[in-house]
Amino acid sequence: MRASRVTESQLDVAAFLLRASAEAEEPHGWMIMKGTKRSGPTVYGILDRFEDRGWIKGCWEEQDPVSSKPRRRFYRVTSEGATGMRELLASRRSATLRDHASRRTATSAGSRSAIMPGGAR
Amino acid sequence: MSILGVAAGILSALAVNEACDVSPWAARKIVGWSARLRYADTQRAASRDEELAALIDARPGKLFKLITALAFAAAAIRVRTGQIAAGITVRNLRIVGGRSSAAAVAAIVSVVLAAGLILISVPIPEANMGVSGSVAHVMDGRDPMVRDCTADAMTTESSPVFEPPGHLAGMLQLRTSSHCGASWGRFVPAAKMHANRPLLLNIDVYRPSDHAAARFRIFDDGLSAYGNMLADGSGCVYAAITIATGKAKPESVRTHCATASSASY
Repeated sequence: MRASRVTESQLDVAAFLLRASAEAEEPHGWMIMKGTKRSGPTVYGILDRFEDRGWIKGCWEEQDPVSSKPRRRFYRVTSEGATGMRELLASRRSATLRDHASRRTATSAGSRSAIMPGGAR
Repeated sequence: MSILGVAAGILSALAVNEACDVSPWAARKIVGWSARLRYADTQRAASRDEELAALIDARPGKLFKLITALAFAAAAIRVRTGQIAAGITVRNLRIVGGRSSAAAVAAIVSVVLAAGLILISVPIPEANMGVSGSVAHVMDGRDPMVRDCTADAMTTESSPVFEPPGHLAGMLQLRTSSHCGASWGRFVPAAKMHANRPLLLNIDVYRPSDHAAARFRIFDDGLSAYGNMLADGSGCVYAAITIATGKAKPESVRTHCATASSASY
């Protein structure tokens, strides 16, 4: 069985990409950074992983050939990615909600146990 | 105010203005260098080089462009130094350094500045490290998948985990990568654990030689889960798991202590 590890940042990026996909938008890196309020290296590390899994596909901005400006890259969620991201969010976001509920229970029972933020796997 | 004070004020204002004008240029150089440093895959490096240059262009604010670029440099350095420390290669650094004098200057500047940024705790990815101990190793507390340590990983040790008592819940494995010189714990469930609320798994690794520990907590959802790493070059490492079930004192299961050299390939 292959172990997977999911961070809160990954969930944020997945949620953002799914929302964009639902609105037929193909965001570029800077839009994803702004939308998720995550740093550039974090976002691009996640985009690397999603691309490796085949969850997203990048396509270059069409540009005037004489332009010397660097091209932006837009990301589209693949059908496989949409399924994977939805499953990921369904399982992990609901787990996060359960985390909060159980943390309150633990506190009221006098436990000092603290859960690390962004419970990743 | 003396004439010298006025002159110093004017000069520093000019210097700041110049620095601001140079910032976008430097930022583009730094992100390009960062992309080449971070990605061993030359195609992806070239793609990210252009993409990050576009991102820097889109980023408003001259100094913000530079700060963003330095964050990319810090992340790339962190990834690369982790690999170098594991004894993989320094060849890529030399190639990058030899490409052009501008890139070399950008590299040196960004190394110094990025080190400063790290020291003042600018947020960088791969949080949730949870390390304690007297000796810091580059791999300590890191995510093995982020550090590309899983490709050659072997299960060095394993121990059965029973929850509830008498019911095999899964196996605790000590995974070891000789490529990274580090080990981490992984819990592979045998069957879904019966509980009316989520169970909290504490997957920790310990290095007795210097009392270092890397802890990781995650709620069980029936999938295998792994924790963070500890370098095993300076002493053996063992994994331990505690399943918090609401009992006052949950039982802990641990593996034997092992190093990469003791792995059975």
